[in-house]
Amino acid sequence: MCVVETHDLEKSYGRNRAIASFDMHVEQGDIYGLVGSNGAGKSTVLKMLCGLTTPTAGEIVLFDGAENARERIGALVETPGLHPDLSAYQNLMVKALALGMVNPKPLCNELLDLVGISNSGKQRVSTLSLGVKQRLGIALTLVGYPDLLLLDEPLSSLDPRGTREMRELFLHLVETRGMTIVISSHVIDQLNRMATRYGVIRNGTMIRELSARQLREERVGSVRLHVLEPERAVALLKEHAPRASVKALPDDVLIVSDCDEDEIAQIMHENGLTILELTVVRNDIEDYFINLMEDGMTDD
Amino acid sequence: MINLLKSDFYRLVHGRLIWAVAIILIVLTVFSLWMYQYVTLSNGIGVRAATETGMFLSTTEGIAALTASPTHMYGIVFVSSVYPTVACGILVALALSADFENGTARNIWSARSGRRVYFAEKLVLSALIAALMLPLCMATASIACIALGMPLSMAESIGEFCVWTILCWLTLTAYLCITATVVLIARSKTAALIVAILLGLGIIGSVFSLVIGIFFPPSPTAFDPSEWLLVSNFTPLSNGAVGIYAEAGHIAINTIGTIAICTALCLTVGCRRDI
Repeated sequence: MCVVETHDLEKSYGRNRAIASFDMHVEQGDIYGLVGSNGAGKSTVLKMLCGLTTPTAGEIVLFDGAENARERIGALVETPGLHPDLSAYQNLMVKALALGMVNPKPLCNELLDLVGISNSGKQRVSTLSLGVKQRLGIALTLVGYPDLLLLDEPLSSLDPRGTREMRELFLHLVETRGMTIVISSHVIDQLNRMATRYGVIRNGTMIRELSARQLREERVGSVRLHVLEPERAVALLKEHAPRASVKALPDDVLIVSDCDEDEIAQIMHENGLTILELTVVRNDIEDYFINLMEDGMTDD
Repeated sequence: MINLLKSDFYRLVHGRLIWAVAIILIVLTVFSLWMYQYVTLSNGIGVRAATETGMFLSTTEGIAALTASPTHMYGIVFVSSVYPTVACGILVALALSADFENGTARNIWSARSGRRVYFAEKLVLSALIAALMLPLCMATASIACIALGMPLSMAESIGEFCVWTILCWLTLTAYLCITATVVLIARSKTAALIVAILLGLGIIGSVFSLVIGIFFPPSPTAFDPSEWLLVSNFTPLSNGAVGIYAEAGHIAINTIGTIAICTALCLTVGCRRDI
């Protein structure tokens, strides 16, 4: 099922066009990383998806056009919306009551536990640290266990442990509850550990959508090959994979570019060459996205 | 709507704001009643108890005028003095603007299909706050009156008492709805607080009266728009419930009209604005 689909989405503020011709496709169970530099329009897109902002033009189809689709969304856009004079637990109760939850108390306690702040449940929000507030913001989006989570920089303000716990929580929610999660972030390294699909946004336009697999494949820079007979390996590669470029290093190590690791392994195996080491050297993911965001390469 | 009201009341009851305003109202009600008694008794004369006549009464007459009817006492203690309007206005301004200041409105808007119910609920909340705070002031004033040794007598009929109470509630609701409308359209705490205070103090009403006076010079035959300002409700209401039927239609139209205009503005202009 297509959980989010946008067609020619557009948002203008006066003469300033923030989003233009924006097309996005998110399937059920995806963890969709919306990547873009500051001011690219990530938050605006999320705001439009959850109904906080009305698009100037274009169409948003949620859950294949199901009725009351917005009631199946949990969103954390910009800062977590919290009442500072209430406790963490009471903040969850406020939202649970607003959504008409029956017997919301156990759910609120469960959510505090889920995001790892059950110890801070009774503390006033004004006394909580930024990281705990961020976790509470995530818990608020989970009230009622929506089918779609829209999270704007959810891992900001979290310490490394918190980042890992929240990442594991997102993966757990997708696995156990079949949730779909759209995360906007420019912390690409974190996204890389959980996203199944990416959308790259530049100047308010979606310039590329790609799966995590595609990303892995495209990031392959070279293969480090350690064999017993390097000269023979070079000859075999030139014969069977003429597009590959091979560079010989000391200690019988070859660096092979423009050739898939599986193909190299097959060539070596079929010709009886013993591989001592075969390592894929990937391009830095940050460099990859920075190039994409700057160059706007659109080949698929 | 009911769910949103439950959520808002949960927030208000567990927060400090509504309790702070309630305590302020209780203290001011007791204080103004005590001041009235103190000034009347210590000076002997000097309190203008009968506002419609502007007469200065003796000590005994002053106390008797105050305790002649509960609604007359309420009129003197908290209708003619404007602190409930100001205090409740500030409560509404802070409670409603917190949703936008803290970003909590986003939690609700993003989880609901429409915005209109949210806006309508805020106006209903304002009416309910008025319905809570007015009886609080009435009960406090009655208890304080008895505690200060001024037994009340009931000059008005039950019907007059009920009509007076409803009209007071409608007037307070109309004031709170104006403040709520400013919050929901401007989304600004500062603007809402300024409006709540100036409106509650009657300054905005006076300015409007002045402006209307320039364009519509007073004439016994001509239509006088200043009679239809909310501020004009205070004189008949502060005189108490005796003879309130004569003014009831005017006050009801005045307040319901204001509430209707506020509702229309919120559901049209307010709903269209994004967060």
